[in-house]
Amino acid sequence: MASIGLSSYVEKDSFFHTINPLTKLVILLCVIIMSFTLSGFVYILLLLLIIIPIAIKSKVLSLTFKPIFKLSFMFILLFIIQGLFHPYATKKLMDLPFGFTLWEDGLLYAAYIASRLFVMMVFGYWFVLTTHPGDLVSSLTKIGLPHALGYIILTTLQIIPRISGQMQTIIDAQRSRGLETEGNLFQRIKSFMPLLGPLFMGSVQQSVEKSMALEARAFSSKGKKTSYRKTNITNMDKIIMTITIIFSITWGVLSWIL
Amino acid sequence: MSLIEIKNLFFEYKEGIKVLKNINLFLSKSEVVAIIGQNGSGKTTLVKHFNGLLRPTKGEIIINDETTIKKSVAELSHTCGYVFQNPDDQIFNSVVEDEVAFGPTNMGIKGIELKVRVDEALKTVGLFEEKKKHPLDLDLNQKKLVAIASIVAMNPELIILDEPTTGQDHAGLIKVETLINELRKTHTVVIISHDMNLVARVADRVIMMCNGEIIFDGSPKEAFTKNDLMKKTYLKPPIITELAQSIKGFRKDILTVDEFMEELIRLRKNKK
Repeated sequence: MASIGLSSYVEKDSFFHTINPLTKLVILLCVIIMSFTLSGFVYILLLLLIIIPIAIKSKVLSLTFKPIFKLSFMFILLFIIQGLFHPYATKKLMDLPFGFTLWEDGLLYAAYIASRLFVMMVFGYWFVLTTHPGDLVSSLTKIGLPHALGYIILTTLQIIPRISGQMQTIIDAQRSRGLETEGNLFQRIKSFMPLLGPLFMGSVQQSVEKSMALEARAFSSKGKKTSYRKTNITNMDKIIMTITIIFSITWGVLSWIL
Repeated sequence: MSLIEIKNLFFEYKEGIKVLKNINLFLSKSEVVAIIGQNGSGKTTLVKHFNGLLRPTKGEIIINDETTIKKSVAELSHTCGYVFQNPDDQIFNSVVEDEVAFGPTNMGIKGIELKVRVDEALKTVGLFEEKKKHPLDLDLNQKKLVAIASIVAMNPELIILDEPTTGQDHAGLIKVETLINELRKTHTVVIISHDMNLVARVADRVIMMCNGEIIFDGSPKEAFTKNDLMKKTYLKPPIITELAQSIKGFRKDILTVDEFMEELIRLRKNKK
């Protein structure tokens, strides 16, 4: 099931799949910083023009924009709420029936927030789609991330789908014993314990077993550790990083001058 | 008397993968039915339809002459009890008897009847002495029995046992077998199992599944002589059956050591 999660990596043979995860991380970080510092939402939205060719080259174009569609309801809500109830609104755009007013600065503020989220989500999801979690962790370990922390990141990515699968089994098992998991709030709260109890116990048990299995494979042995995955920073990576940083600074300065 | 009737059942997951194809099935009262087949053949998916955990894409399930379409899992659990494979997926109480009482309390049973049901269920599975213990202090065999007892206490007409013998030692196997023989007196029992020895010893009827279809429905004796079907589903008959089948002149449908010995004696007498 390809849901919007942390481990939605898609295996493809493309240029952006082969470059170093750190390079992609630099691109992502620059985009995030830009989306907070650029002077207007138009400048932010223009960044989307950049992701399209990148996504095409990465062969994940349609997937990259998937989160936007999934969360389109949230964006619509953002415009409605900010447009009608922005707390510091001064410029009136039009009067609506039932005493509501549509505020111009409210809409502008919503557009600003939406464009920020838009760009960050698209770039973020593109990053996740093209970067194997193993490569990411291995390249992060190379620049100083502690080995144990890297492992924690990797297992966390695996745990989420596993726990949700286990939760479904537990829900099924308890429903088979007549537990109502749907219904009013009181009923739902009542069904908490029978569901969380086994989940919690199972997780504790599994983590104990997992840690022993790790130790059995020399996890905490001392000395330098190597990685199976090759993640070298090539000249190409350096070029892309430099271009990205220079572009971000120029774009940032331009947005304030123009 | 029919308990469950399944008519033209189809089921697919959202991705359009057909998991069950045109299942037609008729379960009578007081029979022990074993559903066998390799992993992924649709056994669990099929039985999850019995109590409404899964709903058919097409087709109908009728229990006691009533269609189940509009009934909730909680309602259906009164007639169809489903014991899950892993007891750790359901145990959450700190006392065994509380765990067993969970189902009946959901059904609204209280007072003296509740107590009687819990005690009876624990006696049936042989855990009456353990009723004040913490479930986590029990071994896997016993935890499995607690899970079964918690369904027995709800007194459903049908009890589904999903892989009742996985991970059990020999003592556990014998317990499960005696328990099934005890339950068959008053209930219809459906077991899903890879343990062909168990199937050979307890089942009245075997349903063989392959790629979401029922490819065989009949007695265990017949099932284990259908070598081509068994091969198709990567199943192996009990070793005693295989041995009998490899000896010339022997009956091919031997299921137990006792039957094997009888056959041996019969052949010897014939020779003399």
